[in-house]
Amino acid sequence: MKLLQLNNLSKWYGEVIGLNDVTASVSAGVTGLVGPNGAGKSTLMGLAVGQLRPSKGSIRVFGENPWNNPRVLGRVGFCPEGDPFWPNLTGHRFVSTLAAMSGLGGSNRGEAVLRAIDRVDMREHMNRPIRTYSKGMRQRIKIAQALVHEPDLLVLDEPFTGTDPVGRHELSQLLRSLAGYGVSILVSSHVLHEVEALTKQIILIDHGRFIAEGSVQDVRRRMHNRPHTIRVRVDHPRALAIRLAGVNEVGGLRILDDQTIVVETRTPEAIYDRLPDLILNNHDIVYEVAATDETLEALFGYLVDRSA
Amino acid sequence: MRPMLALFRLTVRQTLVQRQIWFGVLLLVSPAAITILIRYFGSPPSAEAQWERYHGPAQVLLIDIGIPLLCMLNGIALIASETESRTIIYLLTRRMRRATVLLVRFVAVALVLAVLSELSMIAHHLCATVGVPPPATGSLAWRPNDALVGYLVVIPVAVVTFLAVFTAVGLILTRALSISIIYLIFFEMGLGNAPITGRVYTITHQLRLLSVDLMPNVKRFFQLPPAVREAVFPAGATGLFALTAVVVISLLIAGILISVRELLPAKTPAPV
Repeated sequence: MKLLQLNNLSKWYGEVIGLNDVTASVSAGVTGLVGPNGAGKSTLMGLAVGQLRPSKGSIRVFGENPWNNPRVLGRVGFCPEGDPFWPNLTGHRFVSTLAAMSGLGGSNRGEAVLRAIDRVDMREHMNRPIRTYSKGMRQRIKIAQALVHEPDLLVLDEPFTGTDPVGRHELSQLLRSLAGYGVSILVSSHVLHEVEALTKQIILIDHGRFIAEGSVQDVRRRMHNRPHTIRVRVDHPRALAIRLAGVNEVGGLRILDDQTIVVETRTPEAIYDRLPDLILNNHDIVYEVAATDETLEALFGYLVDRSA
Repeated sequence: MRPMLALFRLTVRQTLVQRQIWFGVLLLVSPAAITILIRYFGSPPSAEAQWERYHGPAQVLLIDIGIPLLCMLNGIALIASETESRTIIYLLTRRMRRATVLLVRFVAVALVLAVLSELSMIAHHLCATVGVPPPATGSLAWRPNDALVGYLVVIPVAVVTFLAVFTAVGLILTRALSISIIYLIFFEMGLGNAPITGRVYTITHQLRLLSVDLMPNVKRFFQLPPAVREAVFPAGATGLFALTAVVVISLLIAGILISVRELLPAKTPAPV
């Protein structure tokens, strides 16, 4: 069964649009929802966790309408964006109260709460009031409440916001380990490399529309009208450029500096096949060969340009 | 049941730590405080004034002003406070229906306010009666303990009724506070105390009718002309009947609204 099914889903806020006639489905696993601010990410998440109602069309989570549906909501953990807290509660009480509201009780609850707090590495600070927490700690305790009842689907709205690089790395590892236990995760971010580091399965969203879905490489391959660019760093870029100029598949060449050359092509596989020979024949030393536009950032730039 | 108990405990805790509870406590200690002032600085009362000194602060400061104001602040904020802080998201993404969330929060807040108001009434009663000679006997004489029992029944009814009304108002209106203040001043305090037939439509008046039903020996202070009362209420109907209807209708409206309405504040989506 599909995790999320969206059928002609639209959401308007008066005259502004949140989601615009989206038909799609999201499978189990980790899915990144990427788009600029105001693209519709939080709207989609609000719809998925039953906080918003579609203006048109429908959304199904585990095959059911999530609005006012305890059966669905009991299987979903939601980490909202921002700082919604009861600031006088301690981190432990916050997670424990929400665990109880998810139906956990007795010693099971105590164990589940500590397990969730341990997973986000907050045991040391759990007895302090949340109002004394740093932004990163708040982010982590929010994630603890989302996973305390061991949901089948974890919906995380901008979970990396406010976390430092170490915290971001730890959070990515936590999410990957949860995915390893079979938890499906829908995670949004407007910072592309964070999502890219977490999953290859992405949905690019802009102006309320899904502009691309799939892995970064798949989406890039489908964009035939854009040449791929490959950056090569060698000791003698000019000599390599001369050799590359004779290759049919090369569409363009640019020498960026005294070590770097950028190759444009519509068939990158052919270039990757030929490059070793060309470099070896040149007796050159290679420092780097990288596809510069198969990053999520580059892809997003192309797609948003095109959709605009 | 467990999710409901957890929400109940959370709501009680949040109600007791919020700042406006101190305003409420101040409001609720005012009957006892005024009674003490009158006892120490006023002249010795006649038999009838003894009752008025007991009834005045309890009825006016507690039931007519204190409880409605407190219920207004808490009723409007019952859902709105969680919506403003966005913590409503946590409550509405758990294993509970939206109407259940509303009902549990309503019961928790009503319980807190009722207990505080009852304590206030008991304090007022002690301040008014301790050390005062017992009133004269007779069928219409003031019996302080009967009056206390009567008030201890009226007070939770007042809390539940006003809280239900303002909970519904908080969900219906966007400018609930200003409209509620206008409603309290002109409708409940104004019309509710005016000597005209229209006052039967106010909660204040219905609470008085209930007081009269519960304290028959003080009927002479509150009794409506029988023709008026009979015209509005069929024989046997009491204030309790009307107040129950108000509570049921208000909670029904609030329950329907929370079940169909989005409470998550919209962010800033891109314009069309």
